[in-house]
Parts: sequence; structure tokens; C-alpha cells
Amino acid sequence: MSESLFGMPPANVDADIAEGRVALTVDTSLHSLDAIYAAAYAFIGRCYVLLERPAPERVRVVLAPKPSGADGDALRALIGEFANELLSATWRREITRSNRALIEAVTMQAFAGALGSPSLDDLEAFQFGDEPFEDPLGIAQSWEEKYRKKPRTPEEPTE
Amino acid sequence: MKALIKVGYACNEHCTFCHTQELREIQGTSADVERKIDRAKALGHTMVVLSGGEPTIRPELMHWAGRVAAAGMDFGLVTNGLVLAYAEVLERLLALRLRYVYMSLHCGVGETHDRMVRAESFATALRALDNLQGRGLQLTVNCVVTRANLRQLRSLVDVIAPRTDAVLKFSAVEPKGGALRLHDLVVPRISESAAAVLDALTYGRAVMPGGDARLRHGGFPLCLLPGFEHSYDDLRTHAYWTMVETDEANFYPVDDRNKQHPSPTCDDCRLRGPCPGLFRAYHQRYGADELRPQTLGVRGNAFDWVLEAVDDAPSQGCPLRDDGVTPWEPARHLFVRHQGRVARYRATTRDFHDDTLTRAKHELGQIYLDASRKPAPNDFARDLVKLSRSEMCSPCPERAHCTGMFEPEFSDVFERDDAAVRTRLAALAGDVLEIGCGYGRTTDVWRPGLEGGTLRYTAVDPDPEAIAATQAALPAATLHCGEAELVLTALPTGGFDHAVALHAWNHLGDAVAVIDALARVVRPGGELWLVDDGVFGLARTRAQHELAQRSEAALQHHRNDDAGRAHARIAGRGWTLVERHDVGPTTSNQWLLRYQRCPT
Repeated sequence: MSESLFGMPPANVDADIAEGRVALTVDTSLHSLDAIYAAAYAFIGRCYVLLERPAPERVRVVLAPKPSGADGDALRALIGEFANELLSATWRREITRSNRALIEAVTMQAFAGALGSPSLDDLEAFQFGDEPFEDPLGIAQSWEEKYRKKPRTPEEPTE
Repeated sequence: MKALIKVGYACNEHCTFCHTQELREIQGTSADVERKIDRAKALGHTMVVLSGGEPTIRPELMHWAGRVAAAGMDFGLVTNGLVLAYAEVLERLLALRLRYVYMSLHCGVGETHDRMVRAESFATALRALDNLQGRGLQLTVNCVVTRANLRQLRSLVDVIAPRTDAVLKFSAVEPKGGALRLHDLVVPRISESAAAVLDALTYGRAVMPGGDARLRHGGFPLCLLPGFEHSYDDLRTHAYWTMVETDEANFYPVDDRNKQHPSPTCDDCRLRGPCPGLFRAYHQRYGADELRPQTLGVRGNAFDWVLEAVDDAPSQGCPLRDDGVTPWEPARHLFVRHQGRVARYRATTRDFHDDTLTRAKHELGQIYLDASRKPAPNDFARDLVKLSRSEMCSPCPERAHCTGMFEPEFSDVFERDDAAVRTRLAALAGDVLEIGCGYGRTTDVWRPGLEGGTLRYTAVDPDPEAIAATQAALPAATLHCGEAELVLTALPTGGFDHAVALHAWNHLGDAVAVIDALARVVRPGGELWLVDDGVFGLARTRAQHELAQRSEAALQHHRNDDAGRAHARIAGRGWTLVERHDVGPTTSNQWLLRYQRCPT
């Protein structure tokens, strides 16, 4: 039997307290399907979540707490929490959308900076240790080692 | 937040201008560098940058990079880059979280570069640069400007332009080490080198993809680089907060103590905050005649310390002293203890020079906690809580060079100081002229005298709305809308007994012109009252700071005079000082000067 819950708009929220479930009908022009999925996902540990499409612009989210026996207050708290989570998911999605270019640039930089695009062969050959690197060209020699004239030893012939 | 560790001073080049030239034999031990890496982590740094000398020639390079990465920090290098010409070395470092490279290249002409570094390294450096391109690094190419490359800076722009990951920076040479030893051969006059840099920057703006975003300069007085004042670059713009030399045991904050803003040349310059000034050794030799201070223009009179962390206060002892005071910047860090917690704040502002911050914090005690939620506090008595040095600092031997522990002082210094001035002004009688009446801030001071017939009140303000508000509050007042410098010329000679400027002095475009005009319109023996605010800092949360940054409140100060500086401008202009109250640790940020018009 469908009942309204105190403080919740009956046009959007209905509950069947005897059956222990509560439903929110969502206007998809306000919240995208992605946001509804994201909010629903946050509840799957605690509830069985069912999605229905009662009308073209509407999605009905039914929450049935896994331990049965929830009373009206518990169902009210649950659907209220879901409504807030839905708003949060919609807002996060909006932030992500407006920052998409920046996020992609930073992510690309992070991946490029880490390893480029290594193949499995590259990874197999990669040296992860902290041994000193080889210096075949003598680049890492100090300037004094490389350029400073050595003092003559007594055995060396002089010109 | 970066920490800079100098691992030793040996190098595979031998630059003519190297400022650590006499230290090349000194090398830090590996254990010492490891200890410093661990200390950097403990201090909360997110990146360790190794420098020298040349850090990449050390055989422990990979080991140190690995230790940094294992500690969860990013890794960076200040380097001539030559070793990074080995692609496999770069790959290994990238895997060990190399994210930042600050690389030297001093000319686009190979012969010149090689002559400056006394090694055949130009081609190798270019190979390294090509390796570094496209790796997502924060990459800066630093060119030290000496007499050798002065006329070839555009060539470097041409070399860097197509390597689009690189930011190109031109740095002034510091007369130190090799540059001091070969001073006349190496160090150009600052005006000459700045002109060459300005030319190269202007050229780069035109030809480099990315333009201004890829061009920087460092060590040049900003007044010599018009149009590029905001392109300054230094350790702080690179987010370095501490550094440690090879022979030092602990980290120290980065600072600009090797440079100075010569007084009085730079005293009124609006660029002083971010400007490096002149190297002390350069100023000692050549003076400040080449500088072109920018004295006109508005500026702020407050800055923020922004909340970084809150920790439990230890039940005994001082957390600063116990952990070592040296890493904390005396002016830019702020520790506040209250109810068993210690909050750490940090000021990143470049609106003010370190000297100004130090004075506001340690000499004048002008530190307040912003208890409001406004972009800018407008009711200081209610919005701000004064912070004072904790009693626990009094006996501490580290007090003089420690950033200090501060605590809230719940006394209303603003209301007290303001009320004292208002009470005295309300006793004035005769013809009173107020400069900058604002939005009726003082109407309740003048109303009893006006209504009692003991006072005739005239006011000047450039804001028509302020004039209208004051007129509505004081119908008997005579009001003039306009800049004081102009309005005063039309007022009668000797027409006033008293002139008053409350919180207006630092807003005047030409304060000295106003003083001279007041000397004409105030009768001999009449009084001039000047009351204004000094620079102060606010401890704020990040949200408060960002709200303030987004605020559209316009800067209105043309100077930030304290009582002493204001008096220096007024002295000798027909006024005798009879009273002076300076800002201090027990006062608000309000100062007062009272003068008597000289008889002649």
C-alpha cells in the first residue's frame, strides 16, 4: 500500500511501509541517468536498488533495505539520504564537465611524465634498481677530471 | 611545496660566473643527503629537488631519487642537463617520479655557451632538451645573462621556441664566486642587461608558441622590465619553501637576503613586493642610479596568512623549539596556539616584501585572526581578533630568529583607539575642514558641534555618493566633491582653524601637494590631524582567503605610510609636530600625527 512520508513531497516520494520499501521518482531533466546510477551505486551495500521507467522523462528508484523491517522513519531517512546523494552526484558531474579539459591535461601529463607508453618488452627490460647509470661518453665526469691538465710526472719527457 | 638539497659543489662544467666556484671540492655524503630527504618528508614537503654543483654526476643519483619516490614525494633536479642526454637515464628518473627540471643553457650560439661553461657541452645539452620534451615535466631553461651572451639572447629564444614544454628564463648574474672574481669581464651593468633581456622577451612574445606563458626573468629589478613585471620567477614562484646547503644540518626558508631595495630610491615603489631589487654586491659597487621606481599606482595595505594545518599542542614544551626552528620562515609562517591546538598558517603574498611582513608581524604586532566571513573585514572591532606573541616565547633563547608562537588576545584595540581619537576630535571648535569624509564615518563626531553652533564643517571627497551621504547626515555641512589637491586650490586662504584627514592620507594621490595646500588654507596656529592605518596581516582559512581573492574590492592605497614615513614627507613644509602616536604591539594598526601651523 502506497503511503506518503512526513516532510517528503508525495508527488515524488512514496513508501510501502508494510513491505519495507520506499521510492523516489526522479525527473531526468534535472538529474541525468549517470547521476542516478552514481547515487544508486552508493546504496547497493545497504539496499536492494531497483530502477523503473514509469514515464519517458521519469526514473523511479526503489530502495528496499536488506535487513527487512525498516519502519517509516528509517525509510524516510533512507530516501532523504538518497535524494541528497543524487544532488551531490549531479553536482560532481557538473564540476567534472566544466573541468574536463583541465583534468584531461593533467592526467595526460601524469601518464606521459611517468613512463610514456611503454610496451611489455620495454617494461621487461626496464631497470628499476638504484644502481649508478652507465656513462660511456664520460658526461658525468667532473670538469676537473675531464679538462684539467694533469701535472707532469718526473718520468714524462719534456719538449 | 619543494625542498632544495644541495648535494655537493662538484660539477662537469666550470661556469665563469658560478657563485659556488670556491666550493667545488666540497661534497656531501650519501648518508647526509638521505637524512635530508627524510627530513624534507617530515617537514611536509611534496617534492625534493637536488642541486649542487651538478647533482646528476653523483653515482648515488638513482639511489636518492628512489628514496624520494619511496617516501611518496616527487623528484626534481637543478642541473645543466647533460646527463639527461642519456635517454635511459631520463627514463629511469621518470620512473622514480622526476617531475621537475630546472636546466641551464646560456646561449643559442654553441660557441658562446661553451665558452661560458668552459666545456664542450652545447650539443649534449640540446640532446637532453629534446629528450625532456613531451614528458610532462615542469621544465625551465635558465640563462644567466653575462657580458658574454648579452647580445645573443634572441638566439636562445629561437632554440627554445620549438621545444614547447620549456619555459625560458633570463637570470641576472650575481656578483659572487666566479662572477665576483672576474667582475669586470662577467657582470654587465644591470640597465644594460635588463635592456637586452627586455628585447629578448619582447622578441619571444612575438615568436614563441605560448608567448608570455613561456617567458620569465629573475634577479632583475622589475622597474627595468616594463611590460614584463608579472613574469618574474624565483625560488618562491617555483614553490620552494626550504633549502639546505651541503654543510648545513637543517633546512632554512628560501629568502632574498642577498638582494636589497635601496632606500630611499625604492621606498615608494609599488613594485617592491615581488621585485628582487639589486644584488647587494652590485649595489655596493654601482649604487641605485639605474633604477626607475614606479611610485604611482594603487596597492593593498593588508595580506593573508592562509591556514595550512592544525595539530594538537604538546602538553609540555614548544613544538617549534623541540623540532628545530630553522625551517619556518620568520615572517611568512604563523603559528597560533589556542585551546590545546596549534594552527599553522603561511603567507604567500607578493604584494609586500619580506621586510614589510617581518615588521608588521614581529615589530608592530599587526596580526589579526579574521573571525568574519566577509571578503574584506569592514568592522575591525568585531571582525578581527588580535594575535600576540605567546608568553612561552619570552625566555626562549631561539626567540630572535624563530617565527614564534602567537595566541589570541581578546582586547578590543580597534574600538579603544578609535574612541580615543573621536572623543578628542569632538572637542574641536571653529572652522573644521575634513579631507576624505567617506560615507559619513565621522558624522556623529561633528553633529553636536554643528547643532550647538560651535563648529562649521567643510569636507572634501572624490566620491559623489559619499558626499551625498554626508550631506544627508549633516545638512549644515559645506561639501566639495573632487580630488583634494584640486578642491583645496579654490578654498580661501586662512579659512580654517583645523584640518582633519582620517584614514585618508594613504589614499591621496599627491599627499605632499595636499599638505602644502592645507598650509595655505589653515590659519597660523591652526591644527592638522592625520590618522591612518598601517600594513596588517590576517590569519585566514583557505576559504576566507579565496573569497577575498575573488572579491571585486578595488585597491585604494597610493602608499602605505606609517607615522614616521608620513612625518618625513611633512617635515619642513610649514607644520610643527606636536603629537605622534606610532603603531605598536599593544595598539591597533592606527597611527596619529598632530601638527600646528607655523605662525608664518
